[in-house]
Amino acid sequence: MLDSASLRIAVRRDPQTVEDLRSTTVSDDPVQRRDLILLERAKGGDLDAFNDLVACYQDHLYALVVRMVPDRDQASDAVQEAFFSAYRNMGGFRGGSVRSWLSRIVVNAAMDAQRAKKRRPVQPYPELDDESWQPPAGADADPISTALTVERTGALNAALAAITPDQRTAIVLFDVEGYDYAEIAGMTGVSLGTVKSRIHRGRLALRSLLEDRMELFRG
Amino acid sequence: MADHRPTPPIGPLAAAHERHDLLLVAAWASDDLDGAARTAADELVGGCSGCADLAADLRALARATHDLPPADRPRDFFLAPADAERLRPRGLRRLLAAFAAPRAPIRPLATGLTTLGVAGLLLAALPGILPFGGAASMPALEPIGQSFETDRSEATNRDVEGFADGSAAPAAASPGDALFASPAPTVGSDTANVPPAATPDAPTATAATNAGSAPGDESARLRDAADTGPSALAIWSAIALAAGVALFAIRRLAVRGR
Repeated sequence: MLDSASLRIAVRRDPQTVEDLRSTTVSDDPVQRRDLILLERAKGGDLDAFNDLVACYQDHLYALVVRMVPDRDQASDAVQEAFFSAYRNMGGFRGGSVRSWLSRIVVNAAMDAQRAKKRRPVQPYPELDDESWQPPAGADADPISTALTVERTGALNAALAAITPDQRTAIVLFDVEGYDYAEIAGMTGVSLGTVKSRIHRGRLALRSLLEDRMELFRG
Repeated sequence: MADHRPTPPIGPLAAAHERHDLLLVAAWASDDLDGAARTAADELVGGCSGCADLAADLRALARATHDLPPADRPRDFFLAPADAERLRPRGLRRLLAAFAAPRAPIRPLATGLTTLGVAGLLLAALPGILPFGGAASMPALEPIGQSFETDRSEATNRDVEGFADGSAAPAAASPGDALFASPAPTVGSDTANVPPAATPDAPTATAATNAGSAPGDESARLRDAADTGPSALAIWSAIALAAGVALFAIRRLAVRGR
């Protein structure tokens, strides 16, 4: 998919060509320029161009959603639904960062999935015992260090899954994804103070849940 | 992971840790405070070992959350051509998709039109149910031209009765009456013997005469109204009903086609 002709054209650093291809402001960032070109082509009916965008961002977006929606099947569905929504609403893209636009859509899809899960509760987070959740160890990794990392990751994931969805969303967006308070407020549709409060309360809740295992995190 | 916790002195504040504002400590650990709040938090963290431990733990948790390894993606999320066609339809399908959109105001519009249509048809078709005599008795709801005809026939009727009594030529009650009044007959002529059927307005005049001479004969009046065809209310109600039902049908078709 990434070998497609549209992507090869998209990553070409040719300002004149870029200006001809799209209507939005030319970006100096090559990644942003590539994204805008792909999006413009996708708007013109080029499905391969849109799938190139999917290829670029599906890892990032899945990693984001799976922290917010600990059920991996639901997380997959949310990401797929987000890409459907992005394709359906391409015309509504008003410029700026395509990555942020997609992140916003996927965060909304993840919040919808969390609300749906709240309405139809299933067995809570069985995937946390799934070994595939753990990071793969390198060939030269220290077994003790690897075991510690696995245990820490498992404990933290379990605690994240246990706090409220709003707190989890705010913490994931802030600590994992690195968005600032204002961006999170824009994505989740709440005030800046609410975002801060959710992050602080969420961290306190995590600490309370992990009180007996804090030695894993202290060093 | 290095432990950067401070080692605060044990003092009177430490004993009261349970009552301390932990949210303030959490905000302090995130460097979100300034001014008086920061000073207060500094005092808490500096004077209470519990608060200092809490702040250090919160920072450690934030670091650990940041370092969480990415989860493996179970599958690709590429769109198939069928998905693309479904999500961004073209031509007639696009039009239908607009009807099926959740935010499209088709359903309330269809409901409103259907309700108006049914209500209007009921008003027009069942006048006897209503205590005031129904829509047929309301001048405003009569078809255009019907009240005009009634005025004209009543004027004619007055003329006929006036001449039958042998009174003078009737004066027009209004300019409209004057316009529609029958041509003035010569005095002394036997106008009263002229049969109603001889005038062009005979049927209407007969009905008006019947209504005037027999106040309870509502059925005759209704029969006469029915002879003039459906009222404007009935026509517009039928149109509204048909439009509402058509919108429902199109929306259903569009939703099925999604």
